[in-house]
Amino acid sequence: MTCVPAPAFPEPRPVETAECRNVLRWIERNVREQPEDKAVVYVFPGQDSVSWTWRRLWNAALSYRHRLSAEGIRAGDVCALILRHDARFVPLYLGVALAGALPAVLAYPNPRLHPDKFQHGLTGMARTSGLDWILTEAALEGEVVPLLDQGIRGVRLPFEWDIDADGDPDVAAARPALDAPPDTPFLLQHSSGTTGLQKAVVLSHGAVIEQVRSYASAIRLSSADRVVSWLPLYHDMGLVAAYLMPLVAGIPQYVLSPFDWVSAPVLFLEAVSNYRGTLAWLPNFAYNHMATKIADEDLEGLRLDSLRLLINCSEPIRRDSHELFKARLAPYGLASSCLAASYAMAENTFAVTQTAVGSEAVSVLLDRAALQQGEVVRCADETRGRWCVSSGAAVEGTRVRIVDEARHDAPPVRVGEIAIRSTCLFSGYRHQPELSQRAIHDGWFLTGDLGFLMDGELFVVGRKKDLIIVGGKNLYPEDIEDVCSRVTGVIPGRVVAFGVENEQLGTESIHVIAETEASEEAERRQLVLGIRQECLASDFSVNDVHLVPPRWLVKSSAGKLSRNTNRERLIERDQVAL
Amino acid sequence: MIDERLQAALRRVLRLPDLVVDEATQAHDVPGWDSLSHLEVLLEVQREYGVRFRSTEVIRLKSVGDLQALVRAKTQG
Repeated sequence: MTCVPAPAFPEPRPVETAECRNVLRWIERNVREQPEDKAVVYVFPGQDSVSWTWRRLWNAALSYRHRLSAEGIRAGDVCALILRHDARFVPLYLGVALAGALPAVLAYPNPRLHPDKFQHGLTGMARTSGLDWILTEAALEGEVVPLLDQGIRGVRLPFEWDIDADGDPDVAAARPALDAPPDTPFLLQHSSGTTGLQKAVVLSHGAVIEQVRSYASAIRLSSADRVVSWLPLYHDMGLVAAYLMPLVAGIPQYVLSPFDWVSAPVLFLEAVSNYRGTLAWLPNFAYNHMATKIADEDLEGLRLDSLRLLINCSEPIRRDSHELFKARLAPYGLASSCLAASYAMAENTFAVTQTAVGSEAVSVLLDRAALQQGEVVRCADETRGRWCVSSGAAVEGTRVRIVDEARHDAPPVRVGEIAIRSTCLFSGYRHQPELSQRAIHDGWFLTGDLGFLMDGELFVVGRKKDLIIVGGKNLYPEDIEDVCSRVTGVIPGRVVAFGVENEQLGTESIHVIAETEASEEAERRQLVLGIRQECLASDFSVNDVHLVPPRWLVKSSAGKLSRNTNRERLIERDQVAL
Repeated sequence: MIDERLQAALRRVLRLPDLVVDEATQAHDVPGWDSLSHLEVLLEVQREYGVRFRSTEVIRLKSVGDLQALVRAKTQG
């Protein structure tokens, strides 16, 4: 079985035959075609970087496969990888896949996390997702070993093993994984739900290849591209877009530690400048982080003109963040046309939509009051409007519909639930058939996100669950939180709003939890009043304001303030029924 | 020993009036000293002492003791 020769890049490499819809076969081809080129470069600031050529990466991966098999890991087993940032991760991940096992990257526990909570989370995940093996580091062994009688079959410490990247690899033993048909499960990914338990998504070789093929076409990926990333790999944006896609497409990736980046955000820009990076994905907060937390002196001499796409993805896209970023970095060569956006989720492997290459993501100013009624009405007055940023058009092979409560097509240009159908859709949440049945309806995955389509582009405006309905009027908590954030005395961005069922009135009441430093009783009373007045001025009638101290509000694993969790925390704190 | 001046800067920026740190204190020991507020802490310390940290110095900081040592090296140099 051979892959049909494809035209050379820069044309996206077509997947000509079903047999070629195997992730490892594509990587093997890159190894064969460009063995001494750089595949992955780990950038360690102030130290030498660590590079993997395609040949050495592949040999190391085969070496890991050999050892993993010797350790008892078999095809179809799920291997959870709980590891800190390390250049050996790349061949290890591929080694797991070459053994026919499913790699599942989990976040390495934050030192703050209590060991009991970590263990509780892991056993929960082992139960719902079905984790067979834990591949971790010696530092974590003590916490993981006690879980062995709870569904986990073994703990292994792969970074303690001697791995040979220059030896004679055992390719024959890896053949079954390289010959696996497209519907063979390739990886397990936890979907990043802000609320509730994380759900495990199994993605096949075929789904990953279909995604890479259509997404590479949407972003016009070429052999001249270079990806720069600091993204964690337990999230689909980091794993699929920034890590797997370059490996499949045969382009180099330059990798930074998420922890280094967050404490020294200039490192990302330096990597772009030094390595002439062309492509990167970022969550919205990163634009603010880099625009506001880097000293002028650190930016001196940077050249960002190589960047052709900086793709905002994975949390609500804010126009202000793009504006801030552009204003700060245009003097260093950042082209505004590279400010792109995408709507993506683990359930679709990654991208659902992508804005057009070569122009900045479009924003529209919409009447906020009309939007609350689900109507999309343009508006010229910023005080009455809300800026919505386009996430672009559906990528090839994916279709997007906006549906109403009855799951029928919503009338054109109206807000509804975003439903998707695609060639790279997941087949259901692992071990959770009921959840899968609720989410997939007639082949369409109901995302739970709200949005509208305008001129063929998708605009995401909120999440269905977080919607507050007051007297038949739909309110987006984000809007209320924005208003509250502007009240003097409230810590900006540290507010959550949510609806509480009011049985007496037969509708929902709006509650706000806001962080403040105010401690004097009189000052606090004045602040509550101020928040309610400010909200009223925007036609939000807030029933209750709960003031909490700084950093009281907690975030979900995706880094967003979680409305449900904070609501539950409040109930626990105040012993009230909300 | 952690200088009183550094202690005060940390109390101020972390909004923890009763905070007392020692050489071994790490960010994760302190409520609210998380990855995003970490930069605020570093900016405040740089302002307080009129010094500038390089990114390669910043990413090596593991404890308040390291931070104190970096400040001393900068102010004495």
